[in-house]
Amino acid sequence: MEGLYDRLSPENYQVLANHLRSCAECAEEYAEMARTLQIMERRTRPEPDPSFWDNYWTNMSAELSERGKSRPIPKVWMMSIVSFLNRTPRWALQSAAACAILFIGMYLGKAFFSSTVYVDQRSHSPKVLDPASREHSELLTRAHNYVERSKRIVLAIMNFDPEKEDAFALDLPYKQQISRNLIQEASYLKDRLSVSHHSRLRTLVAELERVLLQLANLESEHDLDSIQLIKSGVEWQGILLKIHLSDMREAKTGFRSDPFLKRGQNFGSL
Amino acid sequence: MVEDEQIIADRFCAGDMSVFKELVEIYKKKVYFLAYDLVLNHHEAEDISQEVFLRVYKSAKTFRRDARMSSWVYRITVNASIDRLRKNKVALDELNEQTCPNPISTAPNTTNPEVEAETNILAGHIEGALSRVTPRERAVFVMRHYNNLEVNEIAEIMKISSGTVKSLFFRALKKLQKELSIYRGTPQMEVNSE
Repeated sequence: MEGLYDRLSPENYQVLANHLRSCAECAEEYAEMARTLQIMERRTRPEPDPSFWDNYWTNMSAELSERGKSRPIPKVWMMSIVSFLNRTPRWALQSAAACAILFIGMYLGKAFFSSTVYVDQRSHSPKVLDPASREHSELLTRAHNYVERSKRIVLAIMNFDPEKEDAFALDLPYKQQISRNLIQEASYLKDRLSVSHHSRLRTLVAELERVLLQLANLESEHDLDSIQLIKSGVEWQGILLKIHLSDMREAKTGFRSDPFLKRGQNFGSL
Repeated sequence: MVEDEQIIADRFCAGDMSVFKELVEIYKKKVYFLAYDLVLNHHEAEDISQEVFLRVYKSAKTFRRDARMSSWVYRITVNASIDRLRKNKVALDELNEQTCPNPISTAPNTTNPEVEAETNILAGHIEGALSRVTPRERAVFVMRHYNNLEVNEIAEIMKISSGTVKSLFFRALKKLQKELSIYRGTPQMEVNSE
């Protein structure tokens, strides 16, 4: 490349010249590249009108001022809310407020103060769980959340095509941050799942953890070779198939986590 | 000039916003033309160049001095241009129809309409060929060829290795070579021998 732009040192230039004299194929290729660069030199960049440059700072500072202003709330919107409130009878507003407080109170009570309810889809009868069973249920919920979030990361990597997309599209720094959070979660899950009877789920958690570790250790989104290595690993281990099988098992056993347990409560959601 | 730029950069990063105008004056043409080389459209390049300076203004305090100010500004320009390309996905036929309002062409004046027509056709082919390389390849190529940035500067801007810069450059050049192969052997395109 330096040779094409006359950036070589005299010694290196001599080496290049000697090689080109002795190798017809390289000489031809080199000449072709130089010809192409000559053609590209003939490209003209349209110069904008001088007024464009003269007004550049004026336009820029106007844009800066515009963006610096906070957006005012549209008056029309405000007035319509005020007029609605004025038209509605006081007793109606008080009843609506009371109902809202009641519903919020019921939600908070169920969410934070009641026992975990496991809904068995076969019997349709809610069962109140003892603390050990509740802990087990929460563990499975966390494990399935972890698998679901890891699956999204893995799918993003598998669907990334460097030939058609720019590396920036991968948004690697964000995915690496999520991966690091998930790796910490994996550590917790592996310890807990080993004492239960979910060895397959534990194995899947460990395999996903390895993929996430590789991803978290990538130095740059432009390291396409390493990304390809990760993709090959996922394919070779059949990770997406194992995730699919895990989802099918989850559906078959009728396990459904308590809807009042927050999903992703222990790590950032994807 | 380099020393003045350094002083302005230091003051800007220290929070002295009064030098922002000088910063804009130093970089406005570089940013505009780099954006134009990437998006091949005057209006888009104008929008992008404003966007770049707005981002520079907002990010002054977060700019880490581990890179040159110029590299940082160029990096924002490249990223903004590539983002815009992804959003717009300008088709080749749209590219051929784009015109710059009130442009002053930098092509040499000629009274020969045939030569002028050929020049315009060639210009269209070149821009079309450029539009067919990937954004990354185009970024590296235009930074080297039209903006005279060195390999290590380009590597710093795009946060890639020098080897990757060269690899992208040669990939772009190969594609351009293929696209412009009809001009191979045209007398006026012959390279002067060494």
